[in-house]
Amino acid sequence: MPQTQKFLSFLNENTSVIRKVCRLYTDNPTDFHDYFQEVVLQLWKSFGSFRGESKASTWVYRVALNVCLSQLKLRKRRVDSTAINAEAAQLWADEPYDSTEEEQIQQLYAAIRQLKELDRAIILLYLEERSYDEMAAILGISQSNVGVRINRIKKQLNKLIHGRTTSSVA
Amino acid sequence: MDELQALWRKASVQETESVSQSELEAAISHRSSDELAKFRQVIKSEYMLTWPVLFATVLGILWLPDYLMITIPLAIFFGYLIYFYQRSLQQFDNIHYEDNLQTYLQRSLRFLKSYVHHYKIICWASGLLGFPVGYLAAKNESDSSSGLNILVDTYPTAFLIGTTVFVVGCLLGIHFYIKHLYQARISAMENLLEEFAEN
Repeated sequence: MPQTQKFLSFLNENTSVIRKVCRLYTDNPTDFHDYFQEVVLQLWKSFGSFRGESKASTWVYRVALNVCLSQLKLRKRRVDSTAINAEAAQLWADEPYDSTEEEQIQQLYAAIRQLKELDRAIILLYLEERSYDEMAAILGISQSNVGVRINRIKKQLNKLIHGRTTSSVA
Repeated sequence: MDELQALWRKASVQETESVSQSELEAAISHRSSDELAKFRQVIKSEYMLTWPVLFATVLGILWLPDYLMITIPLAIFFGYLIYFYQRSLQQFDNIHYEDNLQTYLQRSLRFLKSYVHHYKIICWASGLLGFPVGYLAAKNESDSSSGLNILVDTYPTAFLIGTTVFVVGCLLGIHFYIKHLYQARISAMENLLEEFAEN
């Protein structure tokens, strides 16, 4: 099988991961497309050297997160943090089922985008139900540190989305 | 959080759109827009531009024996620049996207800081080199009673004007070049690593 076909097949097995990472670090379709293309390009460049020492998904997360962070931070750009405001959050908290599923998903993305860049990566991996071990390997921090951070981010995210007090989350 | 995880699973279902062969080809053939990769391109361009300058300086040594006091230091300077760019490109290639996030950020920051530090040293060195170069140029022109003497009456004036313009121009230009190209990026990387250090 030619290398491009092999890569295409690999890419399509992991496209969901790449799209979600890019969505968390962009707020418009143009940037999303740019970031997606860049991640695919960097994966392609490194594909030959990937020897399967780590899980394929771990490797994809690493490349996707590193590319998105370097794009975002080095460009000194910030995604629109006003996409979800306090009023909208309160409305959602009061009547969560009035929103359509699509709106709820968009609001979830918008809320995550308000977190710090690294916190976004951590909550992404948490929502993806990755083990603490794998999260530590992707991020380069200890498992205990992952646990501490997740607790803090969960409270922050819940407050952003539901406007709840932090104590109700634990 | 359970409801968020359930919502996230639904979001995941929406993100399964396949990549077509043509989309893949477009992605792997497009020019990288990655900011870190752009730095590499800047370094490589400067590296490539230094070669003809070094070549011209070496020709100057051969063809202008009267100016050896100027051309030899310049050749050494540009030779060092070539070495500096080569080393920087090698360091750059040690930054791997497949490293974990913290290692990747640390390597990127270390590279940027080291590059900027050495770049500044080279700028100051080139500024200081400007004094003897300006002095020798003025002296030669003064001795041969041509060229520069049309513009300035005395050799000390030529020395002062030449070196001041050269040094101030070079240092100011490169100061702003570095500041706008690198300093903001270094701060951004440092902030990210500070986030890692938080508990």
